[in-house]
Amino acid sequence: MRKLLSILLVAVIAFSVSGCTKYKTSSELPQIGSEDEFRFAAYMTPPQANVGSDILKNNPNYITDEQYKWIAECGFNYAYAVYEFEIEDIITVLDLCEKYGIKYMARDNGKGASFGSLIASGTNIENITDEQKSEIKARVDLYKDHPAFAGHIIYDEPSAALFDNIAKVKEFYEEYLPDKEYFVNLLPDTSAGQLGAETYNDYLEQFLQKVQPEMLSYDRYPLTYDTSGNPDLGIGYIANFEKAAVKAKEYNIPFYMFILTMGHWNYRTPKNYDDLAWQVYNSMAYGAKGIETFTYWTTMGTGENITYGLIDWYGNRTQTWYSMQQLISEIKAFESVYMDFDWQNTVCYTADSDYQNYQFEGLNSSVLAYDNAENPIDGISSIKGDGDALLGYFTNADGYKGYMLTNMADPADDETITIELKFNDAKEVIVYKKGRMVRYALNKGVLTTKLGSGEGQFIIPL
Amino acid sequence: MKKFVKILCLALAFLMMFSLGACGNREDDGKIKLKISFFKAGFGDEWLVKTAEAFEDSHPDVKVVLEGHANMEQLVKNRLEAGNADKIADIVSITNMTFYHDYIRKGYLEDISDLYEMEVENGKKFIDVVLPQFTDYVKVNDKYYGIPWEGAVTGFAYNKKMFEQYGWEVPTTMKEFFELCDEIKSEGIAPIVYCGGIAEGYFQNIMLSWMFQYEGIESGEEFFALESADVFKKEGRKLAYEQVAKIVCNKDIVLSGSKGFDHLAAQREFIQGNAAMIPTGSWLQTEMSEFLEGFPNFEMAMFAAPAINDDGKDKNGNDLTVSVGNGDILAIPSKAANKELAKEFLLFMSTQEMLNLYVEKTGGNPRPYVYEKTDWSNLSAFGESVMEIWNSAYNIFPYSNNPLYLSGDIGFWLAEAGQCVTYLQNSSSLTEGISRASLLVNKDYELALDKLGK
Repeated sequence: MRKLLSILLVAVIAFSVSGCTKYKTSSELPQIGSEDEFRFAAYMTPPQANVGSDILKNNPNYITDEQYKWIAECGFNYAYAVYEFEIEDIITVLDLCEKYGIKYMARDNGKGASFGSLIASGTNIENITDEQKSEIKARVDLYKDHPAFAGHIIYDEPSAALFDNIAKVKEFYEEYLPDKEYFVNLLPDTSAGQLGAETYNDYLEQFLQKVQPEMLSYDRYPLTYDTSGNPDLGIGYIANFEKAAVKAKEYNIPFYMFILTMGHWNYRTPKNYDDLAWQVYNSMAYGAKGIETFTYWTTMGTGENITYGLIDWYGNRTQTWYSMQQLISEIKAFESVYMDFDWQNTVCYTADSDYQNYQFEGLNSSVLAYDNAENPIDGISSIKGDGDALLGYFTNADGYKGYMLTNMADPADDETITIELKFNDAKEVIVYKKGRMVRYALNKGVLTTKLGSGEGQFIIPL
Repeated sequence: MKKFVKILCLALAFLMMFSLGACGNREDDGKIKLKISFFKAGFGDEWLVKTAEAFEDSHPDVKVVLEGHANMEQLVKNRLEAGNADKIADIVSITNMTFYHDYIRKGYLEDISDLYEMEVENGKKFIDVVLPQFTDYVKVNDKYYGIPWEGAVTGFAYNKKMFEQYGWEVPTTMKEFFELCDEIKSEGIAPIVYCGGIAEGYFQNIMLSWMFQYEGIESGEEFFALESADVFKKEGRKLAYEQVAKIVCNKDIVLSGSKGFDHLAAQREFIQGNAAMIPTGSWLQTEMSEFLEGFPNFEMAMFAAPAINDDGKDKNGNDLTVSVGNGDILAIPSKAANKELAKEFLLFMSTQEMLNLYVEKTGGNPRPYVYEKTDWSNLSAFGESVMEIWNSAYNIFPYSNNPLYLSGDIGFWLAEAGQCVTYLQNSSSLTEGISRASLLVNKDYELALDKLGK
């Protein structure tokens, strides 16, 4: 009897400490991967001479080998033009981009007819005249066959009133430059008076219907200060993601997100890793397939409370540059895996239902989960934690599920959260985090994971 | 053997508790949760945190859940309109009067008229302790749908130590004010800094003070009634515009850069000693509390808007100092889960102890209630001066019952889309500024004629 009881005691002790026991993982990893690239776009390339104002007047030329080497070293695969419009400068930039493996999106800012001026001409275009086409071609022909030339920045933040013109110019563009990108960046959901549409969803729908773009891009900057100078996250940031993500999915196109990388107006200077990571990983929780920096080079003017971007006014790399390099390298570590998955929906998790996360207000299709939430989304039987999180849900063509888990705490608070996910029918998970891939065996399907400030993890249950 | 089995069972039970406990569950403590969603800005939130703690001490079965945010106005609006009772707090703050009336029309707010007849303490009812000039705007169709939340005092803050060092006197008239500016200027110091880039430089409340102080109470109330366009021709309005013009159009007395400063930048300049005075309100100390930590020797105080007439009196010969405050409201949504408890909390907030706590935790900011305490020497010089103004001034909240005002179709400053200070500060000279002041008066009248008729 005594022997039996002793054995029982040992068994119970073994049971109670079994939470720490590592289980054996399976020997084979699934083959998941895509050749598609995540877009890392450096918006505002190094400027040519004499574009600055005030104390920046008579600035030297920054279109140099070193500057473009840095763009590549930071991890960017796209560069978006802002200042350069002379053909000579564009070609210099293209040569540098080719050397460093960067795709270049030019601006056509010629005097007279240009893509942008046609769109903004103030009237609805019926036709683009041959003369206008010739004028544009005379410039663009000089570089359109360059290997690094990827397309044009056509228009930024148009009102819906311009969509017909944008569509009309696109017809010409596609005929003239069939393999090049016709890039239009849209307004965010905060621009009620400027949209030219009843609602933001109407605005998106009109754009998608009329222009039929290859991608959706918009800008929205959440890291602000409130009227008392305290860090604040703008309301409606996640709701804007949802609207864009749902529309992009409906039209089967990728969506890209401009993130804040330069302090200006009442926006914070996002110099730390977590300031950037928070924006990027949360956009990925809604399926973003690319990010664009506002701005890479610091705007060459001293108004608007400008601080600095990734490169300051004088061509120096800032802390933001190094933070971005770290972040891009992390994402590239699982880029091919992530790009193989398609976004389906997102769980917006609130750890304590007494304290609503105001970022989760105004959502329509996202799943709201609170406290110890059961079955929030396919493949997950429960989620709980000590901090608010996003859990993006993805699937791929081979039937694998993927989850993008992010820490929703304001990066200014520098909080680490712990989230427990219980998976249905999974014995182990692959977790991509901090530039590594880690395999965990699961005890009864449970993964408990910590996320530092701004961090995100991509999780594939097996 | 039996003993061994007993020990074993205890050990098993202990181990099972341990192993299950590691999974962890946040326990529901069984308390009633009273949720409060409030606008968190210049005054901070410590006052409410401490009030909540005190309420919990006296109500051990209650947990007060606070949600404060600078954008709470919009969040509350969205939640009330969405109508999901789970997301609606038991008490909400409302700072926009148009919203307040809209919510009442739509049935979003509870009629709490009975609260005004309830006892606060010592036999005094709520209606006895709240200042009447701050209840008028809360009453709609003879019913109360909220209580006044905060009062605030507006005027000019000044660098107290700088004033003491140079022997400058606090002005009580605008003549003294401009003479003081000349004195300050002669010492090589900028007399004034203001936030020209935001909120009309915080001048608009002071302009109303000037107008009211000049016109007297009866004429001032007549203006607020907005019954005809003629009220826009009151002399006090023209004089108020002129005072602003004489400040913002005079490069000699204004710190360079003021036109573009936001409120925080202007306030920083003031605290750093780059200007002697700043138009502001009683939130200044709390709002800049972190920045002030870097300036432990800095001391400031406030004075009310100086009188326009040289004798310091209104146009009828009466002494009158006016301070214009805020008219923020606390209300109970009609879908609130704990309405009676919410009323208890609002009454609790209105006890003398909690009113005093509010003043202390907001750096000397008053609520629009009767304060029995008169000695505020426990506050900073700033807080003490705020309470001195509060106790001596005629405190008003600028508000009109005119339906056009309530719907947002008319305001008190009409020309230049209400941005009169922005318009004036862009004058090329003081002479042009004074001339523009007259233009503003005429334009206001024309626009008012359009809306109100003669």
